Amino acid sequence: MDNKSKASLLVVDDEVEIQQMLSRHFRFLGYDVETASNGREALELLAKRRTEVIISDIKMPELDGIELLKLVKEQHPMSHVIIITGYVTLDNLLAVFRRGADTCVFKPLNDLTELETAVSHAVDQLKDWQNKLKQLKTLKEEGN
Amino acid sequence: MPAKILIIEDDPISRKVLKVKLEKRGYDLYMATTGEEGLEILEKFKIPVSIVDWQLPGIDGIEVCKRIRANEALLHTYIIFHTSKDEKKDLINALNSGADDYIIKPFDIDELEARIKVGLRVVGLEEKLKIEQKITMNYANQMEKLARERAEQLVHADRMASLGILSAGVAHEINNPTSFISGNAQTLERFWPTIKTALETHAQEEAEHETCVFIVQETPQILKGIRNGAERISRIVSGLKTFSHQDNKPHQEECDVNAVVETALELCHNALKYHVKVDKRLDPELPKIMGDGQQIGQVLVNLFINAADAMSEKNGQLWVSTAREGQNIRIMIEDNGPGIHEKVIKKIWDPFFTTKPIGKGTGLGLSISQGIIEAHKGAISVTNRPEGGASFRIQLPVASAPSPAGQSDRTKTSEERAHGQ
Repeated sequence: MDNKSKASLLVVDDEVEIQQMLSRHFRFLGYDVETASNGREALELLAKRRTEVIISDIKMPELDGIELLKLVKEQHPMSHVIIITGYVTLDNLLAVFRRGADTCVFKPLNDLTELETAVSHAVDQLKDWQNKLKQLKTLKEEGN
Repeated sequence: MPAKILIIEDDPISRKVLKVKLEKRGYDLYMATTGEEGLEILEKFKIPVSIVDWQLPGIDGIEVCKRIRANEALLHTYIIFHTSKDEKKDLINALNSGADDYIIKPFDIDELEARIKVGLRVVGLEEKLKIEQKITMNYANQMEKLARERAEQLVHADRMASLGILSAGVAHEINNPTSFISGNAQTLERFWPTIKTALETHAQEEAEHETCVFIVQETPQILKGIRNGAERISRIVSGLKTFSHQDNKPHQEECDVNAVVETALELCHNALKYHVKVDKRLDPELPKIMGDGQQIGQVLVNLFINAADAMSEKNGQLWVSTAREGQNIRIMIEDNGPGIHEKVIKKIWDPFFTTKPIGKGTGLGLSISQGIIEAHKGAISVTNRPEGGASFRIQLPVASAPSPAGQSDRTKTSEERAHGQ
C-alpha cells in the first residue's frame, strides 16, 4: 500500500457492484472509502464527514451527478470531484467541466490507473493547499 | 402474311381440291396424308387452323383431335372436322374429342372459308389474351420484385433505426456491468502478487503442492481472459455509440476528399504495408464537398482495413481512386481479395453482420459507414469485380453554395438526452 495515508474518498454510483468494486480497489490502495447510491445520499454523508475526493457517476436517481457536482462546489468547495460516466456526450462533458469537476473518466474503466492517477492528483493538490494554508497560519502567528 | 392451314386428308382427290381452292384464296397450305404426319407438322410449324378428315389410315381423325388437345404446345390449334358423316351423334363425338367445328362433305368453299375465318379469329383472340397474360405476369413479377426490395430496405432501415435508439440506452446499461467485471479483475490483479507469494509458501509445505502450482500458473491467464472479454464488450459498445451519434448531423465543412483519402491511407499504413500494394489515382481537379472529413475518413479506414483483412495471405492489391461524376464525386476502393460471397453481399450492411473470426470484428463497421455516407446525402454500394475481389463505390454530392449548417429537428434529441443523464 502506498503513502496516501488515509485520504478520504466517496464513491457515488447507483450500481452497487461498481460502488463495491471501486471501494475495494481504493481501500486496497490505502484510501478511506465511503459509498453512496445517489446524489442525495452523498450530500448526507458529506455533511457528516470531511471528504477529499468524490468519485461520482452521472446518471443516478433522485439527484444526478451533475447536480451533485454543483451542490458540492457550493457546500464543500475544497472537495474534489471526479466524474465517471458511460454516457459520453459533448453536453455532458461541457456541464461537467463548467461546473468544476477535476476530470471525467469514461466507463467501462478498462484501465483503472486513469482513475487512480486522477484521485492521487486531487489528493496531492489538496495537500499542496493545506501546506500553503499552514504556512499562511505561521505567518499570521509571527505577525502577531 | 398469309394464314397457315394444315390439311390432313388421305384421299388424293379431296386433298387436291382443298389445296387448289384454298390456295387461290391466299392461304399458305401444309399437307398431310396421315394423322401422325399431321401431328408432326403441327409440332414443327405454328399453324392456327387444321382441317382434319375423319377417316385416315393409322390413327383416325378423332384420335388426332385427342392428341392435339393433350399437347400443351398445340393448345391453340383450331380444328375443323371434315367428314361425310352427318349423323348427330358422330358430330357430337367429334366435338367431344376436341374438334372446334365441322364441315360436311361435299364442302362449299365459301362456307369453308367462313369457318376458317372464325377459327383464325378465335386463335387470334386467344393469342392476344396469352400475350396480355404474359405482360400482366411480367408486371406482377416486377411489382413483386419491387415490393421485396422495398421491404428489404425498410427492414434494414428499421434495424438501423432501432439499433440507434437501442444503442443509446443499451450502451450505457452494458457499460456498468462491464465496468465492474473489468474493475474487479484489475483489483484482483493487484491482489495477485500477495496471493501468489502466499500460495508459493503454502505449496512448499502441503500435500496440495500440485494444485497450488497449477493455480499460480493459471490465475494470470484467467485474469487476462476476464479483462480481454471486458475490452471486447467495450469495443462493441463504442461501436453502438457511434450509431446513437448518427442522430447528429455531420459537421458541414468544406472538405477535400483527396486529403481525407491520403490521411486514411496513412492511418492504415501498418495494416497494409506487408502484404498489400496500394495503387492510388486521385483526381487533382476533384471538387470539394461539404461534410465531415473525420467521419468520411472513418468510412475509408474501415474499407481499407476490411480489404487488408480480406487479402491477409496473398499478394494484395488495393486500388483507390477519386473522380468527378456530374454533380457528385466518386471514390472507388477495389481489391483483389476473395470478394464477397453472393449469398451475403446484401447482408453486409446489416448491423452485427461480420465474416471475420469471432472477436476480430464487431460487424458494425459497414453499417456505420453506410449511415455516415447517407447522412452526407451520398450513396455507398458494393459489387464483386469480374476478375475477383470487392469493389466499393462511394458517391458524395459536390459542395454547392454553402447552406446554413445542420439545423435539424434531430439535434433536439441530443440536447434532451444530455439533460438529466
